[in-house]
Amino acid sequence: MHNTHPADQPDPSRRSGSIASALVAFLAMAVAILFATNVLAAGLLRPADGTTPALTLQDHEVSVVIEDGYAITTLSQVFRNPNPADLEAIYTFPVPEKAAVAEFTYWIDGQPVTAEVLPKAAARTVYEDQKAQGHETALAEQDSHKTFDISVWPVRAGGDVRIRLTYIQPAKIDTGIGRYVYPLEDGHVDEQKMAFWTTNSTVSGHVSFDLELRAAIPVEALRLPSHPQAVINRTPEGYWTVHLDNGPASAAAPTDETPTAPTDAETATPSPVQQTAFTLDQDIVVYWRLASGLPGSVDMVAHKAPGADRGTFMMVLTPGDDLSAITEGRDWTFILDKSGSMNGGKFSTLSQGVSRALDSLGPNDRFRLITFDEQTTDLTSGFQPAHPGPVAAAIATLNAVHPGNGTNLFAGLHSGLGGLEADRTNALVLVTDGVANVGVTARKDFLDLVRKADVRLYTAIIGNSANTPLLDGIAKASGGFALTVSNDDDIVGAVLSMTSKATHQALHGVTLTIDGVKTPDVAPRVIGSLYRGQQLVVFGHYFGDGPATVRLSGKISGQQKTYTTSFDFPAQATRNPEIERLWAYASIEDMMAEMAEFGETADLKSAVTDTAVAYGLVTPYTSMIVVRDEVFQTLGLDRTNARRLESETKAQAERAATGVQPRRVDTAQPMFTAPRATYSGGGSSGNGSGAMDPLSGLLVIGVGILLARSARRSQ
Amino acid sequence: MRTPWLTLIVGAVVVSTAALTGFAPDALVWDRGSLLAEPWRLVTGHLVHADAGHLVWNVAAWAVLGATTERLIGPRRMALALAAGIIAVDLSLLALPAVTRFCGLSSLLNTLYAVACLTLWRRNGGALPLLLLAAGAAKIGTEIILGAPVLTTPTWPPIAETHAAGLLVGLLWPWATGPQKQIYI
Repeated sequence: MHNTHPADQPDPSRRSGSIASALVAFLAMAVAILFATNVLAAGLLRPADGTTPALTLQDHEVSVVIEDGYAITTLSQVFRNPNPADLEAIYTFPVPEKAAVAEFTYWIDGQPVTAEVLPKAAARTVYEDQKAQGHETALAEQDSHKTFDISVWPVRAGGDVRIRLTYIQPAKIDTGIGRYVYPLEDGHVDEQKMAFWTTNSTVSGHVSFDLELRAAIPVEALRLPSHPQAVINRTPEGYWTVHLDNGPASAAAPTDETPTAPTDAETATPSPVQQTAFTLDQDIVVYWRLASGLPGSVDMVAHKAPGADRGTFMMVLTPGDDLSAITEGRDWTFILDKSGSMNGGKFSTLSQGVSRALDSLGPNDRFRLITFDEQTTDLTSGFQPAHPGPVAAAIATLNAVHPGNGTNLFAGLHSGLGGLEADRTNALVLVTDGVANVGVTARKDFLDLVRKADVRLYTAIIGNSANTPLLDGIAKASGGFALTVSNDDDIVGAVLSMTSKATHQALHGVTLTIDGVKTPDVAPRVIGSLYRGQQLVVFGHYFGDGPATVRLSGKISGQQKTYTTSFDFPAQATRNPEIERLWAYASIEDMMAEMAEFGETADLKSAVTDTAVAYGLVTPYTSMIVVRDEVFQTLGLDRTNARRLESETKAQAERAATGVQPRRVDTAQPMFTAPRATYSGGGSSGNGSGAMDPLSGLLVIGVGILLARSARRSQ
Repeated sequence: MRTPWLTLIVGAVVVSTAALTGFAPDALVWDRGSLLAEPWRLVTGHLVHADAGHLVWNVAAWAVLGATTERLIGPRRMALALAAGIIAVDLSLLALPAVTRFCGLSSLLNTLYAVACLTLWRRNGGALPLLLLAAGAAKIGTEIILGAPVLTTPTWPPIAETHAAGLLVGLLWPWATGPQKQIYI
């Protein structure tokens, strides 16, 4: 196979951009279809056989602080038991993206008791023992990539229990737009679980969502696409705040607080919310738009306790926008999930999206449609020219498809990668909202498949609880990218994000080297490619302090490119202790990926468990357990996480008191010369200009000459 | 020869705005989401530019076309032509939902270009003004068909449809305003 990577093609063209834009618009439409019915949600689980009386969700309060490059989300919940017997509460919610759970607290006798991390089986044993003894206990577990499950015992007859859970995530900025998602909608991907449990997602009491964005660089606007009733304010310090609750809306969000391209729907007048029961079935998505024209930059947050030899750093590299747009006709293969989860009208809407995309292809483009459930079908019998006849025939065929059955993702990909022509530029677009549950499901086999093919794979991972680790790994192995999209994301934003990447060159084979300071344990170990607008977030440890030279290298269209800067690593830093957990999470991600590809080994499993226990993280191998204080002592459980949490809480209070501080470290020697990519920076971003060029100049000169001649005649 | 004051003033405003606010200032660009709350963007969007190249080309063209048109039809009529051009270009932008932000003077330059060519043709006759006009229209048409600028790659991609809107206003101008009573040459 000798296909040329589309991202390696130089020479900008708006036509190519419009085509890719339409194709990506199709992906976004695929997102829109998931507004369909049968939406599940976070909530209290209860056996579907009805053998257990129902608990109620009394209160659900969320507080988010985004500062210094990461978000801290705190969820406080109250469960109520209206029944005459004590009950166990089991609350489930989708795993937020790259979330490191830092705190789990259970109020016992009115006092908060924080959790400690144990290996999963040990934590479950402690929980069951305490439960059997009638003692108060609570457990936070992770069900693979799908859900966090919280168990609390007991919720006394006629009583309430209160819990609090805090998790930390790197703040996501892409093409100048920050994005935060509080996931609530279930991804509908675990059919066995769905068959066993029913979910009560209705909160009968108070629901609130408060977010504070403390940014060190200018933020122009902030917006919640699916929650127009949100009250958005800007504080005198320049911070942004968001408030949502299930009470009457006190004010409408100003209409100019729209960070992305506004649509007609965005101008709708917010409707007041009644004080009423609230259902946890809709993600809360928050966007914020950074000022345009900001320079590419290197930001760093470090933590190094006084007297410690080893520090931890989080480095965020935001490249300048020097990746050119690409052009030339391509062969587009659409690989479309038609498994059972696509039922309920979703697939017909998917067809409409394909239709729109195909209508926009250029005369030199070709297309192919492949659907998959447990089997694959090449609907177009190979590549067809993007001419009206073949396009109409393909759409008619697609409209006749009836979704159903399981998901054989491997077969779909295998079919999509077959039949490619080496002398054409190929691109694969995969849209799926589910998991690989039929046929080949091993990650290693997927990776081998795409690596052999040498074709970029662009993937839209739709909804929560999808197998993001697998799908993201496959896309990265191909040199492409995967985007996770909530059903409540702004469709325009999703289109802009994917378009700007698919239509520009990328920096491939990226490596980051740091000289001058010893920096072991860097995560991620393999970076892969950087597409337009993407940031590179790297964690690591460091020994010593002082000046270091940082080099970011990669290839653009086969040409080596290196960016260099120098700055100091601090001798001491205590403002951001949370980044130790973030480093641990990133390190565990690497190890989990290795296990997924090469199989679970005792060493790797032990390393994950040890790291998670040391840094207080809930993982598929570790859980957080709460017991009474005296039981912690009786069981000999060290309060490692409680001490870490105390340090983090103290730092958070200090940050709140001192305000934001700049994190940019390459000011003296900028690593990037161009401004960072934004949606106001051109391409097919939705921006435009009135611009003259040399040809226009010649015409203008012609008019000037005519005028001069006319003047001479007059004289 | 009369001094083209309107041309000089507008040119000075464009250059000094760039010097004071930088390129594509967020408070002044045409921004679809902010037009109701900040209607001045309907005008200021035409006066600000995305980068240095964008500014230099447009100001140079403005100097020639502005001075030419102002001498041909006078400052009042030229101001009216520009106002009509602004309305037409803004309407064209509103009709292009994919365009969310816009900046630059050249759509209005197309208005002046058409006004100047037609005025010269009506005054002197001959094919050259019409040929120049046809060449300009052909260039815009090519850009619309190709979906790409022919000879330029500014930071913000040119929107040929707005050039067409500006040119159209210029083409209608002589018929909308009646016979030219005064020649300012």
